[in-house]
Amino acid sequence: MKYSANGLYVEEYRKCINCGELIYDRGLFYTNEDGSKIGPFSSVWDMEWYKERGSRQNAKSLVRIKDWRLEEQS
Amino acid sequence: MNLVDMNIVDKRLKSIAEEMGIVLMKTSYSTIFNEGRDFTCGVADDSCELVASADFQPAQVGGMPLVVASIIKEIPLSEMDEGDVIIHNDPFRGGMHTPEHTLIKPIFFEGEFFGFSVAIGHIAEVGGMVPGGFPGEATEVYQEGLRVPPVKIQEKGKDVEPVWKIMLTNHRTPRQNHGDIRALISAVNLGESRIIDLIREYGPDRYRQICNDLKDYAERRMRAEIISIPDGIYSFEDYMEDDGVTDQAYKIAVDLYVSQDKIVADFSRTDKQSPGPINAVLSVAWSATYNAILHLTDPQIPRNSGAFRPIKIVAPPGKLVNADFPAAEVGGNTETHIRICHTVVGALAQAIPERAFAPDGGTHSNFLFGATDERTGNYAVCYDFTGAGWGGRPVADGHNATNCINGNSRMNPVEVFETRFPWRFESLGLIPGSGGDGRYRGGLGMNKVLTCLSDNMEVSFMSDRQKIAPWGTQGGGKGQNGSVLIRRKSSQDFVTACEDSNKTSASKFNRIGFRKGDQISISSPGGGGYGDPKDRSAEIRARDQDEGWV
Repeated sequence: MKYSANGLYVEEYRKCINCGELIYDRGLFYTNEDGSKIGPFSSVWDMEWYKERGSRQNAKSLVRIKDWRLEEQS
Repeated sequence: MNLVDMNIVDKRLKSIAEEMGIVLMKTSYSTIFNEGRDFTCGVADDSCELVASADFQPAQVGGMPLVVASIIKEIPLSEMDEGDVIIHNDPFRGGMHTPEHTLIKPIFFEGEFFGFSVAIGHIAEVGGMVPGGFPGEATEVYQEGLRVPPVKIQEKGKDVEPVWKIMLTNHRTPRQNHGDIRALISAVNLGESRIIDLIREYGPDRYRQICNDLKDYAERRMRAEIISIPDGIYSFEDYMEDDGVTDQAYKIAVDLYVSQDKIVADFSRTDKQSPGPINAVLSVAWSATYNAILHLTDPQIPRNSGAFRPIKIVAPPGKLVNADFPAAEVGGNTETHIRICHTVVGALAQAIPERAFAPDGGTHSNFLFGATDERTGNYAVCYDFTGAGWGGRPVADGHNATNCINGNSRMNPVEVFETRFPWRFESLGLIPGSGGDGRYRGGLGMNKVLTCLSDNMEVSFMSDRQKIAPWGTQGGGKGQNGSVLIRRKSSQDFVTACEDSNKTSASKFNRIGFRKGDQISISSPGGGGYGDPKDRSAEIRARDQDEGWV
């Protein structure tokens, strides 16, 4: 969320591009092979889930899901 | 962890949340509160997580953690004092939809912060382009009523009058809304008082420890339930049949990744947000997913934030399940919630058919109207709904004429409705044969026919399942679609809103004028059937015939 300098209104409703949660700080980004910045993300878990979309769809069986709570706790 | 203390406190907290709801029901002015019970109450702890909730509105329980968290982002604890009450309804800042107002009151004991008492209620009239807050043809949130970001409506126990004045100036029924908001405040006041008693009884440290234990316990119980579901990727799709603005269906798709003790519900394949008001916001996607999983797991698991920890929801921005500002969204929490919820149930039905159930009628048939009542001279606004058939279950037929899966609401009694609003009931009854066939058939939808008693009535509607029927599961048949029909005093025929008023959708429309003698006929859908119809015994089929269910 990007608030106006005076704090009275919202200038941008900023969301994690993976899970859709509102992001109140800058958020996380990663850089693509072509140099473009991808994000914002609300967590490393979201970034990884987003990156692995293609491989997950092609997977024959379920890949173990990393626990998002471990990241939150650390 | 002391299991005895923890269980006693769990029941005490739940009982407090229930008592808050009873106070709210008994002190409110609108029928949506005191008859419909379209509210829920809960308690959050000092980490601002939900530790208890009452079983009023399932649509609001799963959204409560996000709405409380979003309030704290905007009004930090350092700016909260004893006696403050904060109000918030903005769907794009953590709320659920424009009518849903969340009130939270911080709880302090001997100067220390211990959490919040929380009450969420559906205020029936919030301004906007139609009386009753559900413009079926809205294309932006501004048309759906006044948005209130997290602000203090009471500060140190005293009203913040400018907030009250701004809100009540923008509502069509200020007297009723004033009463309803006071009722919400009474609920959080009672919650605060009861929690302080509990803290005093157990001591601050023990109370905090028990709250943490309760969340950890709920998490463990939920993880144990998920482990019993075979690992896999389970996908399912369903549709909202139109959005009131465009005549096209919108897909909700979920891929459920079940792995050991965790579930990821990924809605990335869902259609983009719609121009019309069926968009859900993120708290609805959360709440609907939790709602589905709570329906498929042990009902004894405490309903607190711990139970939700093993469930991750991926709802990318700009989708029908997480619309971007300033999308129209008011139907998302009532109608699209149901569809999201049953999409998750449909996915899990592949893994645990013995626990899954067929979908209910899938719409609340939200009937909104405003008119001056000639008997009193007052302007009356109402949000009314009609029970639908519930889906067949692994052990029994679906219930008849019951509020859908995201509601736990009661219908307005005929006598109350006729006393408070200028309509006369002509008929009210179940629709035989409307439930889907199956080993266990779907519950029946219902029909009501009303005659208008006012010359300046304006009717709006928000429903679905008039084109795409509730599906059956495990071989069960579809439920019957619903309908909304209008008959003018001068006509013999009931016709749709498209035929009567050239509307795009027969199920979602804005302010159609009614005059004395005009009639509306509302039919709710039946539930889907469960299991192969061949497995329903001849004896039970004969009973169905004899008792008039089919």
